[in-house]
Amino acid sequence: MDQFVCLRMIQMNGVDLARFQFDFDMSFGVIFMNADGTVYGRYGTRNERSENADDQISMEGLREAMKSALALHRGYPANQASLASKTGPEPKYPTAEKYPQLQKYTPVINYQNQVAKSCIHCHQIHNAERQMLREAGQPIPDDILYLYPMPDVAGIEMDPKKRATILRINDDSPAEKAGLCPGDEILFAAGQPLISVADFQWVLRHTPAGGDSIPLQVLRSGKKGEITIVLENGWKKNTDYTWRVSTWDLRRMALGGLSLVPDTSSGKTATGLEVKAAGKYGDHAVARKAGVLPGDKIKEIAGLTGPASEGSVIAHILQTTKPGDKIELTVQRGGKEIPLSFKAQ
Amino acid sequence: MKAFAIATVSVLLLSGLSATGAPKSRDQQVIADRDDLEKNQDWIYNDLKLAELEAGEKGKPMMIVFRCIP
Repeated sequence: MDQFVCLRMIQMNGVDLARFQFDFDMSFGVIFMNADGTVYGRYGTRNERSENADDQISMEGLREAMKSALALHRGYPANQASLASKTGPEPKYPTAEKYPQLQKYTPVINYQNQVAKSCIHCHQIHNAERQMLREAGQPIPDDILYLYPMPDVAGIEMDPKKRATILRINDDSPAEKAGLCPGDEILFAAGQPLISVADFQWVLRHTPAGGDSIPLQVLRSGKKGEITIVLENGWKKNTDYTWRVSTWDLRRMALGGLSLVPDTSSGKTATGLEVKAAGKYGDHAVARKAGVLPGDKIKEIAGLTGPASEGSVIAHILQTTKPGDKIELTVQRGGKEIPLSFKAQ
Repeated sequence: MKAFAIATVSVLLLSGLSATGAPKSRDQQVIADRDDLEKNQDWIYNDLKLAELEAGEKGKPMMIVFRCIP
């Protein structure tokens, strides 16, 4: 630890978004960086909102990332070119409080009497980006909805206690087709040295939803080899984003504040979804006010009549409607079919 | 590394209770976290410019931790 200068950040107020880009839905994220702003890598992965949410991070994994960051620092600046893509594209706004939706905040936290209220939380940046598109009447693209996909979208399960080592490969997945194997250590992806699973997610984040190939350098049984993984059009839709805290605002926009879960009962409808919760306050109560209740089974929503997930329904609505459009749904309740509607936001 | 683990976990992940054992408000937790970190020789609190300066002078990389106080 004494080989690093350790900096603790607790808010996004005033933070330079050109330099600090990471998965803003994390409640714990680490960036390793040179004093000149060059990013060595990231650490911090999460894939659900349950008590298992921390399964993807470990002290062992963090230690591996720290060791790898130190190795990159020792090799700097000779390795500078391979690190260039670890800095993201220029953001729309230089700092969070410049977003139109966040202009009530100041560049610093008010420690006197409004600490939490004056803090821009990391996830609010995702919210602001999406709200900006929504207010402009534009669809929210897959690249903005399906953020930082887990490696499982490519059929890879990483070992959270290692740097970037494959634990399992799913059958008939892009990873299996590419020839990747359990135990393979991914040294480079898209030309970038990986120090963690989060670094691989960074590469996936910047791989277009329309599909692309990712060249990998892999260490297998002590030998380095090159493997290319191919991701087809629409590949990002295979990741679940509904655990993310920023999904709360998407539920407001698309579902009038509903939270949908798979219906596990024997009498499930065609979509296979039921209403877990309906918001009670403000803009999150729109669906409840329209008559939708927790426990309702969704037979049809926004023209979707087949098997669906909450994430696919939200994506469909946010990619095919504008705020104010009518969202029609039919619910089953007590053996009856009830047509209802509310307005998208 | 063990010391680091203990320090990191205790400083960054815990501390939701006051000295009397009563739950702290979110504001109280953030302020307590700040006070803890400002006393800690190993950490710089919320000051990127200072961290950059120190990293440049000492030739060390920065480890920048974003941690939300829940």
